[in-house]
Amino acid sequence: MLQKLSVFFLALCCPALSFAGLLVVVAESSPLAEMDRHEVRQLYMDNASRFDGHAVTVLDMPEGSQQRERFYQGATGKSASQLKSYWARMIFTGQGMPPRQVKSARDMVQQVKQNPRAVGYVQEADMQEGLRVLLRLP
Amino acid sequence: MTTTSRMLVPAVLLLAPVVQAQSPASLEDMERRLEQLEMQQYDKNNNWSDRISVNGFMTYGITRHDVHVRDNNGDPIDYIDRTTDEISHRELSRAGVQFNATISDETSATVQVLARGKDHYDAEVQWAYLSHDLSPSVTVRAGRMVLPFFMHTQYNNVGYAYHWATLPGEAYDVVPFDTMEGVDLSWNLNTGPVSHRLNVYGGATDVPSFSLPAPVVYEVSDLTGINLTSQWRDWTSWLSYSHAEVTLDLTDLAGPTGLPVAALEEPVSLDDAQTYISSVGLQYDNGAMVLMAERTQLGIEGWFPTKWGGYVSAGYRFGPWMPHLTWGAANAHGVSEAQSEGPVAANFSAANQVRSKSWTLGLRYELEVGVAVKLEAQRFYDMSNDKIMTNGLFTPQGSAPSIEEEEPTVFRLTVDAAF
Repeated sequence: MLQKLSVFFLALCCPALSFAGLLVVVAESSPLAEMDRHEVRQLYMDNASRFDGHAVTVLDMPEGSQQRERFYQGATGKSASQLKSYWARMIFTGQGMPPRQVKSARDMVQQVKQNPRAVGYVQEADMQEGLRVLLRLP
Repeated sequence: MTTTSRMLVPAVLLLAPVVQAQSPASLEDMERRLEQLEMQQYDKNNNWSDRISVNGFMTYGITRHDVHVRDNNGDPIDYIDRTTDEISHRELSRAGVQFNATISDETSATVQVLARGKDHYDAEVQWAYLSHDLSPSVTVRAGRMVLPFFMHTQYNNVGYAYHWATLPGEAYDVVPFDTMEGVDLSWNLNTGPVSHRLNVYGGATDVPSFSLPAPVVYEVSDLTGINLTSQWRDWTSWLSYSHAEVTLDLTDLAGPTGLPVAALEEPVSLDDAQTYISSVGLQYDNGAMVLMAERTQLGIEGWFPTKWGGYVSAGYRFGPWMPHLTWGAANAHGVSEAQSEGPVAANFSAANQVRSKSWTLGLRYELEVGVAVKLEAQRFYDMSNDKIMTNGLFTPQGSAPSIEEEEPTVFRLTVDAAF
């Protein structure tokens, strides 16, 4: 009975889990303290190399990943194709290149943990020791 | 092994006995570090994919208009010198590829090559510059660059970057523009929540023109300009002003027109004439709704006519679909002054004047991220008044009958990609 109940609850929770929030994270040793949504948007849209007087490296999830799509929808309100169009303007006029893309969610966690300059985003479920949250996106 | 690490090896070996004397374990440690250092150097120098990036864009398009009357020679009427009432697969089709090489953390080199169907796909270098970051927010570039006259000019060949099949003709096809050789400096700055990009540039260029009986070249020197892009949340504004001295030698026209050379001197020729090109624009994009408006102007001192163009556009995204509607207009003034300067000046002014209005109804469909299909119809009207007698952006009156009664419409279908 207990087992059946827990399966039932898990089934109820799963859709909620898949829509769990995204976290903008840095390494524990990063000098950055916090960021609001507009600052995150500006950081990613400019692929900025500095924030708040500190050198930063902006990391992105691979193109086509669901996590990336949700991140940009949440932080900038832009879809993957609008983003592509935006970067086409930037790249072909020499105004900037998009943030470097990591290989996977696991790679994102590793790279952020290892690099005190890195700013990245992970799913709530992938949060682990060594990472610090700057902003929680809905 | 690189020079640095080669020099490091003896240095470490020299230090080794000392280190060993202090702590036997640290030599191993040092060797491991040296190995790591070498690996890093190796990675840095050989991982070319981190240093060179290749990006590209492409458009395949078909276009035609629906005016079936003929010009005075019995040839088809042209829209912007080229499009006729028969389907053209070449007019809009083009491809570009850009190579970007990182030389150091601050310096990079960029080359962009473009091949246009209308130029028989003869490849042309549109961008070729060295870029250097003077500070994290200031960048200087030198080389060949596309002129930043108006809001969308620098990416006018990258169809995927905008919602239309082609940029609004009234604003973007009235002033011939292309590339310059020169230097520019960009400064990114923030004032509160508003981020700005201030760009200044200087250089020179030649602009060929085909709107007269024979090709002529406007020599543009001392070209300088400033533009400011400001962004606040979903809003982007654009302001630009450029100044140049323009010289136009018309003696080559004497042959085709049969006019004596003296008639082609002032006031129709230009000698270092003060010229300005300006534009003001605004964009709003909240992810679903897009609004855009811009007004552009070209004036040449003591010459005619002064031209302006502009448009207002609105679109809404329903998933991958985006219907949009645009109103465009262009006009010229200073035409009547030309009448008093004699018949050559009057004719010359007539060949340079413009008046046009249009409605463009379009649909953009995102086939997938990076590929869009666009369908568009642009209907022209109001191409003459009591002072100006034109056919808008079509073959001018004088070379062709008035076509306004034909309700001229241009159709376009494009597939645009960015990769």
